Amino acid sequence: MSQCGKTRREMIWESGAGFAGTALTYLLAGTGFFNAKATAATTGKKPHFAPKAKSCIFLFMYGGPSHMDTFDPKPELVKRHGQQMPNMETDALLKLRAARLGALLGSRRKFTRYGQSGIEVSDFYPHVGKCIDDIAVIRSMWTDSFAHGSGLLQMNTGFIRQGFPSIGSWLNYGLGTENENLPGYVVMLDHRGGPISGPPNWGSGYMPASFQGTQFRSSGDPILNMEPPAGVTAEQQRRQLDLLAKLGRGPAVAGAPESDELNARIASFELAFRMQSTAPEAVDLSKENEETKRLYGLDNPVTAPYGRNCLIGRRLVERGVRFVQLYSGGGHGDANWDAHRDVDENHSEHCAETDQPIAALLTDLKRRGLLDQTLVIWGGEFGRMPMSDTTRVGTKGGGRDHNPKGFSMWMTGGGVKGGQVVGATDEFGYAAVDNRIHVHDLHATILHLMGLDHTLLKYFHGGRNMRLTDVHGHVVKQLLA
Amino acid sequence: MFEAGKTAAGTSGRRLWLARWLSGAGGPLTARVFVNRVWQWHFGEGLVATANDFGVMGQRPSNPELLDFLAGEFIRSGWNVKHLQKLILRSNTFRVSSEWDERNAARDPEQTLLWRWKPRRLEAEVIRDSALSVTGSLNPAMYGPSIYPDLPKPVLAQQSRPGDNWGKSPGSEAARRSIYIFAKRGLPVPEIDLLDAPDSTVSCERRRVSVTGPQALTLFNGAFSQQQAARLAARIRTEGGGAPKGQVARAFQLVLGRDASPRELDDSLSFLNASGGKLEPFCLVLLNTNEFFYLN
Repeated sequence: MSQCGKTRREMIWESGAGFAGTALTYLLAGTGFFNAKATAATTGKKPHFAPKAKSCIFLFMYGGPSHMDTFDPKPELVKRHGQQMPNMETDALLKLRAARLGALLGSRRKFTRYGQSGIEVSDFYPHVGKCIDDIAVIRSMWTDSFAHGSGLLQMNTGFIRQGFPSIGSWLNYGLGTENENLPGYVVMLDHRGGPISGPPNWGSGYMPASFQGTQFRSSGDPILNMEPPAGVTAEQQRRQLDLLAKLGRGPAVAGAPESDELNARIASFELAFRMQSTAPEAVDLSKENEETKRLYGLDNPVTAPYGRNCLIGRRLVERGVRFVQLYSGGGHGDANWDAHRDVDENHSEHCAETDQPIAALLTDLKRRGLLDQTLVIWGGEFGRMPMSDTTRVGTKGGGRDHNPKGFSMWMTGGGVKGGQVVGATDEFGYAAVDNRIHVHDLHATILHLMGLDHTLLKYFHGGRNMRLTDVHGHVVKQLLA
Repeated sequence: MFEAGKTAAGTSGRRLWLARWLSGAGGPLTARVFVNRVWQWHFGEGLVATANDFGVMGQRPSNPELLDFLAGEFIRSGWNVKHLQKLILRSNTFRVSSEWDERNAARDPEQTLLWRWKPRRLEAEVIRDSALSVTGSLNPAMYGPSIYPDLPKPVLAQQSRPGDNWGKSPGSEAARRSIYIFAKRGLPVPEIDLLDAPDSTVSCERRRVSVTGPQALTLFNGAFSQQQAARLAARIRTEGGGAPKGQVARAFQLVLGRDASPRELDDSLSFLNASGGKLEPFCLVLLNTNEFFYLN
């Protein structure tokens, strides 16, 4: 905030002065489909109401973590371990997957009550457990698909098919950017690879490319093609940009509607040039002190990769990036949370990799006064079945199949009422039964916390106004502080 | 709804029925939709701006008489697309300049009546093809299997199986037109994707134009741009004579299709001087000018 109580962006927005001003406004508006004035009017770039959170970090546990082994203890399931699931003959999904579903599989994890709220968390997540009083655990999530590809797409875009803008695109479309020198939507992948469905998970669908997620890497060039090729110096690039400014502006005509767009194109090269210093600075952890690095587990090879991404995530929201998504797990099989073979083995690895870094992120955000304005979400594309998966090669019966009918996620930070459990699954953990929360409801709630009404945030496409929540979704009031 | 019956070929004839309905009983709507789309391809915006939607949710035509005239001509000519194209391309409206006129602008600021040509950015694929063409590396071969442009490692790393199902196109194969690029839904090609090529799984009524920093990074530092700049440099070195002046002049002719102004020539020559005479950095700048990216 500046002295006069306005952000720099608002100043530029309202000043409309001069050509650099309009070009920048244009870039911030982020679309050339409408002219800059129409963009300001159409997308608002102002929240619908006072936002609780300015930024959002989505910790995506790709593959589908088991809720019964992490945040949703099921004593009845443990008691009936080895018995048959009672509704195998009547439940449509269970009938469909019957060939691979064995007997009930009780969790072998030990659950502990944490904090004032006494919420139970398994021994997979002891560090996160200590933060539980700030966390709202949702135990009644459900989604439409039991396949990774479509499940991922729905968690990210609301739709099980490809071609729709993701949450980060909607947030940037609705709220604009706070830092014109960095992308407003950053995705960091697991070191083992990307998720199934790949880039459409952070695509902008039918919206312009300016709203798509930009992949950042924690080592090497943070952004694709960021560094000039070998042998090209900064002075040389500076000279090139100067020449481009001289030769490249045409055919801009002062006053003509397209001149904003044409000037913005030249400005975008200046922006790119600035990104060559702002992006590496954002991912440069050398200025972080030793205590912070240890907090995130950078001194331990197990926690270091996700710890580094979490720490970069904090640095990105500090710098005004609107939406950050950090993937845990990549590729196929046990390289992600897809524990068909053995939950204990698979989750031991992925929980150990993420527990300390996630708790560090929450602790670090809190002590810097950033947790109040940052929404943090944990979860995957679905949960796992209460019975064992019998088909995977090499299984000893400890694996679990996908489960879209009931799973856990959690939220904390800006505007979230922590220290509570929302909803419940049945006694086996198979289906959400109490206060069921669909992905659309989660999306509506995320937008609400960021100051946007999910029924008003629309984009005209294909003959109608499209929404992140389509024609569904309810804000989950119980989650709000 | 569908007429039962058999064609000579023994099929049910449903497609023929649909074609007849669309071109006859469907009324002039089909012709209107088609000519509007052709108009949009040429002018960037259709006479009906919502080209996919002529229904109640669509916009009203800006010039209904013209739309009907073109639709009528199209039907009368026996649905002759070439006739329609000639009609549009020979019109004064198509050939009008992009010059700005304050008096006209005051009366029609949105240029709905098309009193001037509205400059607009070329589509992603056209930009790539144009670059290949002016640098002399375009392979115009038609038909045949798709091509796989080289993708940098970080792009492939986004896949759950990095590099899976992305082939390798030898030599000049990769320099074929963009329409031949293999469309893999989960793996967009950055040069195309960053310039607003639509998602291949949904209908795209009209291309959007966005301007971003990552776009500029790829256009300046990406392997494709660097390669094209090098090709152009090699070309003007042979075609522009031994002296920088002739080489710059040749580059302007190739890339922008016009002579450099004395001032542009000066700016370019002093740039070359400061860059130690290397032509590649100059070529990269010229290939990134608005004039090259925009249809003027």
